[in-house]
Amino acid sequence: MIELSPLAIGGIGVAALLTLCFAGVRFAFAGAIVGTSGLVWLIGWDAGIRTAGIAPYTAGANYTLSVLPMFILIGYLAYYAGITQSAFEAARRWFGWLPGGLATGTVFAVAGFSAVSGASSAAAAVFAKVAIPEMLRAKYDRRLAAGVCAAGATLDSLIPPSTLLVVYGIITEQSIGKLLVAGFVPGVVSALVYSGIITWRCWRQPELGPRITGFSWPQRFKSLPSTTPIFLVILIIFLSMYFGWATPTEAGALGAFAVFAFALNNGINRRELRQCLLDSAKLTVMIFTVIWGVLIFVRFLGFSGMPEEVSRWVTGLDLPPLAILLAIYLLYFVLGTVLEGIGMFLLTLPVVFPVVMSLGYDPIWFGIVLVKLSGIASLSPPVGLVVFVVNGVRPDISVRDIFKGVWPFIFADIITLAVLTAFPEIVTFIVETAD
Amino acid sequence: MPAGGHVQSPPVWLRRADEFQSHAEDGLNLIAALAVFFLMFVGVAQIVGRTVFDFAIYGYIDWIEQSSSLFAFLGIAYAQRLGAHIGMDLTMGWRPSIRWKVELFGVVMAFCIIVVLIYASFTNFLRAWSIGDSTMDIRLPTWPAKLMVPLALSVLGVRLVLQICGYIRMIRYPDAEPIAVPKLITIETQVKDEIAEALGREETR
Repeated sequence: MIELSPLAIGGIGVAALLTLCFAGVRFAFAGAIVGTSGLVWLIGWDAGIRTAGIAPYTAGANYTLSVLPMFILIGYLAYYAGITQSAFEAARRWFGWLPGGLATGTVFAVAGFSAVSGASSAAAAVFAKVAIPEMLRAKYDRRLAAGVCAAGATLDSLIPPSTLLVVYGIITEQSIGKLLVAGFVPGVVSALVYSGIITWRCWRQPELGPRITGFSWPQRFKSLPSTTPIFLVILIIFLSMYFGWATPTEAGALGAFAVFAFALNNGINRRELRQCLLDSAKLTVMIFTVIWGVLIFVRFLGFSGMPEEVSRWVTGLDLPPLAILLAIYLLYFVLGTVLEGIGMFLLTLPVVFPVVMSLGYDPIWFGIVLVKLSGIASLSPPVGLVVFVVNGVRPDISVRDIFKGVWPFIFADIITLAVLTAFPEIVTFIVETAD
Repeated sequence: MPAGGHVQSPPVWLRRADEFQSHAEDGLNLIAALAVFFLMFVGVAQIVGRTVFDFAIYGYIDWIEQSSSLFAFLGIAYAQRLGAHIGMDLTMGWRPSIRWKVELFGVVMAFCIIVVLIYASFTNFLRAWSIGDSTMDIRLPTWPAKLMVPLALSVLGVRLVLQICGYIRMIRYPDAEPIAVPKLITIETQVKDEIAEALGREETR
């Protein structure tokens, strides 16, 4: 056999993995094929096969990972807890008086629902149906109305419970609790920035989004109880992580139980509950499979020593760390327009994460900016699935118009990202104060 | 109609095998689903027990870890049947005739590695079985969880064989009714499915 350095073998492995993925092989299997072959090449048949054979069990029988099915279950149960209509109604009563208030209300409601349900495209579909007719009736601009539903739905991945942050934590071996705490502030700030933009635009051009007035304080407070599941889930997870009351799995279980109780109260029947559980099991096994598949690949990369070599090479470059970081941002932005977050993280982080760490950046902070970045990318052309989903629910508003409605939010997100990059303390301070 | 001019009648054995296999997969996924549901109650019991009654479930982490293999593996063939495993789907806009070939390549590759992993994970189980391997805290035996891996992968292996047959059939008879293969997804059907699913749930409320 030709003698190759482990580094070269690692490089071939990365190229082979990408080729297989592009050729349509599912990520889990591509990772397992390349990882197992590479391990056998580097450490021989017996040790290689043994290492590969242990990986699925290691990933499956892992307490940290058991948080995933809980967050997923929260998401599926959320549809039955009667949140959507009431969240929109409450948001309307509380924020309607602002310029573009219905749109601002929609942002908060859709962000809250998509955070809890964990599925941005589904949240976009539901709110396109609930909120767009209301906004059009109130003479809101069509692009703005459709844009807020699409953009607001992508705010889910930072606000707890976030499956994407859990996956980041697993692959980079960072504390899931810290990541969930750290995502909260940037997630809420992003929603506030969105509402700031809407208010400013509608204040300058009142015809975009007229004010809705006439709600009394009692009416406002009356609308709050039915939105309890959203606040409850977000707070249970955030507070138990922040004060260290519970492990992520326990907090997830408690959150799921709370939503389950609301769903029961809202009349979920046995058939619906069964479907919820089956869907949760399906998504759970999908994520576990891709995790162990990629884990075999990661073991192989570890033996090849390639990530360390790449890090050494990158830090040896005569470039400021910020320039390298921006190049990484660009890479993720481009990848994120065609790949969804979990797959993208698992495929790239084994190599990219050590590089970013060698540049001296904070691992928790990097997780947050990466999740933010994938949110921005999922909103951008050419793919932007949420935009197509909004268009699917409202075929009368063209994809082009929705993209136009979404642009101001993408622009705002880029500014938020720049601020998070310039002032990482926004992310890290809350982790430092947590127990 | 294919160029050959005759329509292929659906092979009974493939349909039967697909149905039988689907039942098995549904059953396994249901067990996984119940494990998820159960985990929720155990988590709540643990957190309430600890904070309110100063009581913790004996060997809580060991139990959760070992039973996690139920939802980590058992649904794997079910997800494969539905074409749900995470991948790139760059060929979404291509002609079906090419897409069947791409899908065939994907499942053949998957089958090759799954066969190796069935062997690898089975030897992992055998080691645990023969040395009496157990968990750190309360010394639960680890072999049942380890056996779950080759078991679930074997069911997946059978599913992959059915899909290989199904894709070869679709390549030979492009106009035939697809059997034992997930439907081809385009960006339009994906968007439609997402909406139907989300609004379907919503409208039952």
